[in-house]
Amino acid sequence: MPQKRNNRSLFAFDEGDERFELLETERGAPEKQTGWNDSHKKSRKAGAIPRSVNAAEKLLRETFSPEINPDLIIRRFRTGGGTEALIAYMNGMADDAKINEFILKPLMLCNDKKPDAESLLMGVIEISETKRETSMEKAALDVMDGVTALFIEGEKECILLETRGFEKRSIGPAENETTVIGPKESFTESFRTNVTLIRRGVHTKDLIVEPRPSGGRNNTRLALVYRKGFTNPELLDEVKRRLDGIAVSDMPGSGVLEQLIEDCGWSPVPQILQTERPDRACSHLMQGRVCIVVEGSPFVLLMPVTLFSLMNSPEDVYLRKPLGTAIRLIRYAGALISVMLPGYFLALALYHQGVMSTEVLSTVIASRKMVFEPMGAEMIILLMIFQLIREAGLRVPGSIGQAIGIIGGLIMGQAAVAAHLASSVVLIVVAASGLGNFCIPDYSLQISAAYMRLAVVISAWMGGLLGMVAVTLTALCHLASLKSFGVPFLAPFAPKTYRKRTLVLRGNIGMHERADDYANTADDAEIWEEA
Amino acid sequence: MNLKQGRIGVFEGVCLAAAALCVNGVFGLDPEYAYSKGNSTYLSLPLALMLALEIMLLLIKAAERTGSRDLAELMTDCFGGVLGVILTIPVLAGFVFCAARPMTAFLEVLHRLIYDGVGYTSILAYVIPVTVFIAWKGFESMGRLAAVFAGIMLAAFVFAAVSAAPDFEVYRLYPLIGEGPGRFAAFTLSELVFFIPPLLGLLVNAKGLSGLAFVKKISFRAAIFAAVICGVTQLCVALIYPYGILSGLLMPLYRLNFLNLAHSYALRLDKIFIMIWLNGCIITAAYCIYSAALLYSKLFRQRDVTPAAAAFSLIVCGTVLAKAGKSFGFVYTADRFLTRYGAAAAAFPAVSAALVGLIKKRKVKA
Repeated sequence: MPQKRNNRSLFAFDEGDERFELLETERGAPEKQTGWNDSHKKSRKAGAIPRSVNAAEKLLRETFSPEINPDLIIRRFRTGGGTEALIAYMNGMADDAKINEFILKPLMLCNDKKPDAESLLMGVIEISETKRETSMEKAALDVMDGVTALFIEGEKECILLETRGFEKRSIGPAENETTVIGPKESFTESFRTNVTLIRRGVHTKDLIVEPRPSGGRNNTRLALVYRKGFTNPELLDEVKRRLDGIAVSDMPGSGVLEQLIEDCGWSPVPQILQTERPDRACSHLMQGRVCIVVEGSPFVLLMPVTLFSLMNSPEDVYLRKPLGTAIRLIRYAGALISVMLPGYFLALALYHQGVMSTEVLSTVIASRKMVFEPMGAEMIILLMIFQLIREAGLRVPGSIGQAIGIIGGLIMGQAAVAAHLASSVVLIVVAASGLGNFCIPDYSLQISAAYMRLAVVISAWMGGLLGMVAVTLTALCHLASLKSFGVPFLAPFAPKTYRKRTLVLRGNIGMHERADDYANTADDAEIWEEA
Repeated sequence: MNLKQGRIGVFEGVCLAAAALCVNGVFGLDPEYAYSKGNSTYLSLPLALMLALEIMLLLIKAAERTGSRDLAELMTDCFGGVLGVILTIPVLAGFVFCAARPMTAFLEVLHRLIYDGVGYTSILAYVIPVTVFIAWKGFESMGRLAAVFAGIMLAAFVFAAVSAAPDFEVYRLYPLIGEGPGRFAAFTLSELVFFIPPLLGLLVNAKGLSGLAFVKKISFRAAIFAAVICGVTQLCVALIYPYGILSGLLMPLYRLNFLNLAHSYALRLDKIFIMIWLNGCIITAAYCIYSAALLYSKLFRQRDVTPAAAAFSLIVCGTVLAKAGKSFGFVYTADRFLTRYGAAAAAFPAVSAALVGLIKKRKVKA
């Protein structure tokens, strides 16, 4: 019996032992899709390929309305042997030259009096990737995607020919996850290119690219990528189950899909990793994680993730051990400064002045001499302005964005201090915290840290160190309870799991001989058997 | 990795239990009673912990023998429904005591030394919601949270204790075991009230710890670890302050920094340390509240622990407020009474259940 999420007790202590964490929140078969999806299924069953080309043309015209939708090209012709045939494809999505040269030309030269699909595929059509289809609905979906459908008089199935040839962006360097050392390639909006980039990085026989329905009305293509026999099958089932449960009107990309399948939607912390780097995706796949490639999105989704995997940068492994370790330590320190420093400073300055040395305290007092607003308000306003500058810099073109950063950071800051709107010490604290925020490699985590910082500042303003304790403990408790596809978010530290890799320090590459324990991959099979 | 729902591993279990034992052993003591005739806490606390561990091991053995899976089942198996419930009341009171006692001490320190003059209610307004939230999140989150803070808390204990090392004087240990062996033994037994409930909490949450075998392992490790921490910390305190001063001193561990580090930046860490230990206190309180709520729910066959957890949170909050604010004399008296004689009430159900369980015929449950 599938259990509904709402009925679950928050303190369920009397559940059966067989209840595995991976299936903790959403167990059993997914709920049946309703609404548009049902009609979608019905029409799919009803639409068989007609034997007559005339009927096929009529069906295509009913489906695509080519009289008002000229994108669909329907071309009727006779083969060399005189048999009626028809091809249908989308203008701009399919490669015209390919169609003319390798489909139309050989068919018109074919002298077979009564050609069937089998004989045409075996000896006439010069396209490598072909498929026979009996459902008109499926054929129409493929045609919309750039595939050419060939209908032959008297045949109860059509031939789908791979002729996709639309314009796409070429592979460029990663914009959000830049590295100095390491590959410069990044994913593009093209589904096929992205899959190819992954295949180029994972040369294993067990790599599976499994197409799945996206659940969106716009029929966005997506694929599950995983290592069969290595990835935890329960994790895979859970991912598939969540994908099957999706029913939305629009699936524009990976960002929306992430929200639809993650464990805790209201949490500010990401539970799925979005990356634009193929090397990062490949590394995670080799660790037994599951990847989802979505058509039209230059990011792929990786799951499950933990806080520590979100804090890692692809560059760590490309650098030598001491350098990689130093960079990681700086990154963690940066993250800590980003979240805690403004609040801590405020708590000490407002409530616990004794903790500061006299010199520091006198500097703070001197710098705030003419500033009119309370220190807490000053800190919050400066943090807001920092976020404003950051947001503005992100949304405008590159060179202007840099200019905004310089104007905002230097000139505005200087002017604010000169006009006694802000004190120089608080400005330095906010700037240091902002820089620390940029050390966090994941964009979603950066934003989470920024909001967490604001919460810490408000609590420190209200209650000093005690307020900070309250907010930090609450946030940590939330992180401790959070899971990404059944894997605790603070693993492998809490819960502590078997690991050979170092957690914060880089460690030896030689330690990377087996996947992380929490991923429960085939590497752990022997351990399971012993247990 | 075993990804079972609602379970924590040995590491998290040890961290949680050790944190609860250390917080109670170091901050829960009543200085008036503990240091009235001499300071022997550095010996009596580890000894009391070992006694509590022995009682716990007996209980686990009895549970194994009767086929009980946790404390609630053991009590009903040994004494039947009604008597089992009656004998569980002191255990529930023990949980409330262990949640409230250290929190009261922290509240007092925060009120008197950190936030001079700020009301108890204002301070509690920051502490209680977090405690309730952690208890509400359940055993799994609590265990992981304890694992996150274990290292930081340990570092704070070690630094605070060792920082005063240059001022250690052995003569301050005089008289060695207080007023004599009799009083020392009585005092050791009275300290059981701080250690039995946190250990019993493990047995209440036996399922969350993957069974009795793991409870045994965790109890053993946590008790040994806590005995070392409590013993060393109290010894450091005893080497600095004579017992006469200690009996009137609020949270002596907090004061240690003032001696040696008065002219260094490290002195500024004192308030940071108190906040780190406060984290431990909050986790301990949440653990005790959750254990009490779970025990109650199991005894009365409630499927949801939330209402019971909310009720126990209210009781703990009220107790802390009443004790700290000295608004109700009977709470203060009850606290003094429990500090001295509560061990008997806490140990009686546990010891009697252990004895009955061991005497009863072996049962194997499906």
